[in-house]
Amino acid sequence: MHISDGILTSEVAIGSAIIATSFLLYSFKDLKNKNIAIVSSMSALFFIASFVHIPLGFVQIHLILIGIIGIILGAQVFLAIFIALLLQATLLGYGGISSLGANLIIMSLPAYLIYLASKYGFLNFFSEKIKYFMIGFLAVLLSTLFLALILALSKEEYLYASYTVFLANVPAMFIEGLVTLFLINYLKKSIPDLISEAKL
Amino acid sequence: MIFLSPTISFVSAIFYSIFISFSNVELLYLLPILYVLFCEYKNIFQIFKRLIFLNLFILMIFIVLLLQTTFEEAFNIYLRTNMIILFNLTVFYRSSGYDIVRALNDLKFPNKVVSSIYFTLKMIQILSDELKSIRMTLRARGFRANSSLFTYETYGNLFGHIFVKSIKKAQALEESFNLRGFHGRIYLINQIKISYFDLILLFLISMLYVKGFVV
Repeated sequence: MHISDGILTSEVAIGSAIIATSFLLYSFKDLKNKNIAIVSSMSALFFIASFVHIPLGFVQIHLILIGIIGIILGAQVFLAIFIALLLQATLLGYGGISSLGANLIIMSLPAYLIYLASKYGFLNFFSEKIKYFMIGFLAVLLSTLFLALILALSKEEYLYASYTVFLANVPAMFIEGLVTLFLINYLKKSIPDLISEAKL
Repeated sequence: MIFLSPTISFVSAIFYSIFISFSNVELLYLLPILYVLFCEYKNIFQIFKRLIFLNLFILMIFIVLLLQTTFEEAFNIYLRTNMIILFNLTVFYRSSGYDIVRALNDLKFPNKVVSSIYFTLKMIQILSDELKSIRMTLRARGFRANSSLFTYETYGNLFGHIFVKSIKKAQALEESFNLRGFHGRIYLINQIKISYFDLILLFLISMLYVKGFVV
């Protein structure tokens, strides 16, 4: 779900870079020394998740885990994802440098929105298992929506590409939801304190 | 092979990406790529292999644009995206990531950001090793990934395990920060020297901007 360099128009690339920078500054403002370790570990987890490909019929998808990362980090998710995206762009060639702002919005804003939804109890309407599923599902849904929106805003010609990207990612939303459900269940057994702190 | 300074490579990657992203491709813009490929001539085959792998999404955009606009416009976007990826893949081909930390430190990025990137790289190493060992265990037990609920449960547990590992490592790291009196800054030994090869790269990138503004 990374947008490569050279795809976006200058207006969208600059606009998204400005918005992403403001999110990054907001994230950086409250960063304490003691939080650096957890930010780094979640950033590494996001980076590692892209290595694991899960088969889906004839194609393979990779996980992003931004829902649970967002819940753990809150506002600091912007910095964690920024670091991972910068390393992915330079070391692996995923995404790019001029599209870093757009990719940061696509990946970290949904994570922060899921954090807010969880914090203010908007996910409490669901039963526990559905809630865990929704954390993963909604994160990818929002991420894909932002991706499609940024592509569509960039060029009218990208509108069909946006629809294609959205439809192609529907199975990924369900898989991410299921994996997140099992992941949180595992965390509940292994580190229950963290889960209760996050009010999950 | 020629070693380019990470700071100059990083700065060049930023300026090259920004310039090419918003320009119509010209032959002259290939010069910096040819130069970095020359510096990395022993790894050219592997670099192109990676580039081909990264072409999936770009090809999709190319096909969509081909159906909706002219061939020239679609081809221009396809070419410039590939040029940027090729340039970045080449300049960072031998990078372990730690030289990027040094580059950011040299460029006076905030200490906390530099430290966070440094610790992220450490964590990536630890977690990749853990991922490899779990994958080997799964293979040894005859696990084969497919589109089933059992596969998703296995991956959920796999990431759950890695998650716990990363949280515990983060807690241990935080404790060692406290013991060592960490104040958000890591001290790096600066061994970066700028050579004539770096200056040539800078000249080639600057030339693009001069041409862009003048012509």
